[in-house]
Amino acid sequence: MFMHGPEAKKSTYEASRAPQALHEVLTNPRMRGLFTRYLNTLQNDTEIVRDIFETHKANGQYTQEQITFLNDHFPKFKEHFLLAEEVRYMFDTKEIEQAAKNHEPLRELLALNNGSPQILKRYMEVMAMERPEELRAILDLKRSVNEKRRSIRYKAHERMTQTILKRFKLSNTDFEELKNISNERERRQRFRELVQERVDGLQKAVGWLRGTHTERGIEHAFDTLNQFEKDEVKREIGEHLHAVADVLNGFVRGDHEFMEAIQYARIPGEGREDEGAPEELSDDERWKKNMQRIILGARDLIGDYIKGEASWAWGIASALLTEATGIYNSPNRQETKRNSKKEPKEKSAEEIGREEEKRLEKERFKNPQELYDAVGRQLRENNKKGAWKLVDEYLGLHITRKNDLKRIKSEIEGILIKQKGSSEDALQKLSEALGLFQEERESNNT
Amino acid sequence: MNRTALQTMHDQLEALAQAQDYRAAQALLKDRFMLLPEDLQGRILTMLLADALVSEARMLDGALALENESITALKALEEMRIVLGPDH
Repeated sequence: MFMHGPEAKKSTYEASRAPQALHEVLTNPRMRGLFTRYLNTLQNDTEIVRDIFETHKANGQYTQEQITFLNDHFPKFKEHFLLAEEVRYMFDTKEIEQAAKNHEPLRELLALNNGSPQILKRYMEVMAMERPEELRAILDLKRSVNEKRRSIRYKAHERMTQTILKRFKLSNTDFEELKNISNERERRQRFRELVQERVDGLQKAVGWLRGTHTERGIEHAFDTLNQFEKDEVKREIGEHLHAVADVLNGFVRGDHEFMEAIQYARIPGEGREDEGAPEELSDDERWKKNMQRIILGARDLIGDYIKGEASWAWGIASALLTEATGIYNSPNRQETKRNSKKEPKEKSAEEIGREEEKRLEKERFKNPQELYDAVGRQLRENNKKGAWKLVDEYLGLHITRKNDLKRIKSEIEGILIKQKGSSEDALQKLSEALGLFQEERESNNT
Repeated sequence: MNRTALQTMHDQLEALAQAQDYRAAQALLKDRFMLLPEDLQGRILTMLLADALVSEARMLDGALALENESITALKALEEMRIVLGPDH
């Protein structure tokens, strides 16, 4: 059947591109390893996959029939590969360390490998090939955690700050003092101290009395107001103040113990069905519950592994992935690159790899929010050059004659490179640029 | 680690879990972990990472709920102070 118009054009384009793209995959050890893992999931075609890699191992060549087979499966593999790239981006070493910080078993097992998460990272890439749905679920979970972190740090914290300002009535002198502190960290520190002083003041005023601060408790306190003498009411207030002060103290300190403690705090309507009410568990019981889940999980994974014990291609793919990861993480990578220039054949493979990296870099920030987060992360690490690089690359792709992105981009450059403003200014400008870009895209769509 | 050794480790974990001796189970997992095939190490680490993310999500939910509650409590206290008069 013949195709006409755009459909025919598309088909011709893809047909001419596919062999080159395939060449890129087969000459890049990491991608070849992943492609092998992917092909190995195609149960019906195991024989042909085995032939392909045995042939390649023997003479490094493929037959036309094998190339056709590889080409046929390449587009689907590409989807999996993009997922693997997303995982690499979402779970960089810092993010994994952050997750392990509050999770003893993970921290312990990572420590066995000198704290390096390479095996974990490599396996998640393999999951992109073999268990994409499971991996997507983990990515969704990670996105949700990121969103909650943002809420805590910015939205809810801001609301809390506003409430504290309003309720604890910081004086004009306090505000003047805060305004005169130019260093953001010092200003926050002083603000915390001022709030702490007021919290301490409240505690002294009513005394320390144990209690809870649930909604029910507050309603009860209101009822009490109407029913009892003032002394009785004072006690109720004392209870609530104590609880509120506890919460405020935790936020003011922002300390680790507090955050850990509230993980199991009593939240109305919350609690895991499989565990019963969390507040009923002692620390030891909670630890046991967690370890039980982990040990049984590890036991099941070992059992599954025994049942579906390493298939023939596993060894080849793992070796390729290990080798490739070694290349990617080698501190001497620059040296490798320099040496490769002397050898035209190697240089060609390296170049192809770099082009692929560049292309994937462009596809990395499909969602502007992701770029915003990545830039924010760089700025928090005080890496203004890194932040600028991301902004430069992304906005550079979207500048058109119609929009004002060019102007904003140079303003951001001024802030980040020529130090003409703070990190907050840069993020505000970036937000403005992304808003413009979004508006333009929406108007193009309509 | 060959198939027999894996089966032994599986059975030992099973027995320790049955006996609820999780400290010994944790120690066993730690001692043998580096001997496991790399793929299996990766799978176990991924499971733990997912577990860590679930814990963090719960912790953050708790923190958000407490923030909201404390704001409500602060408002209630303000109201109560008004009712009680200027001394409080």
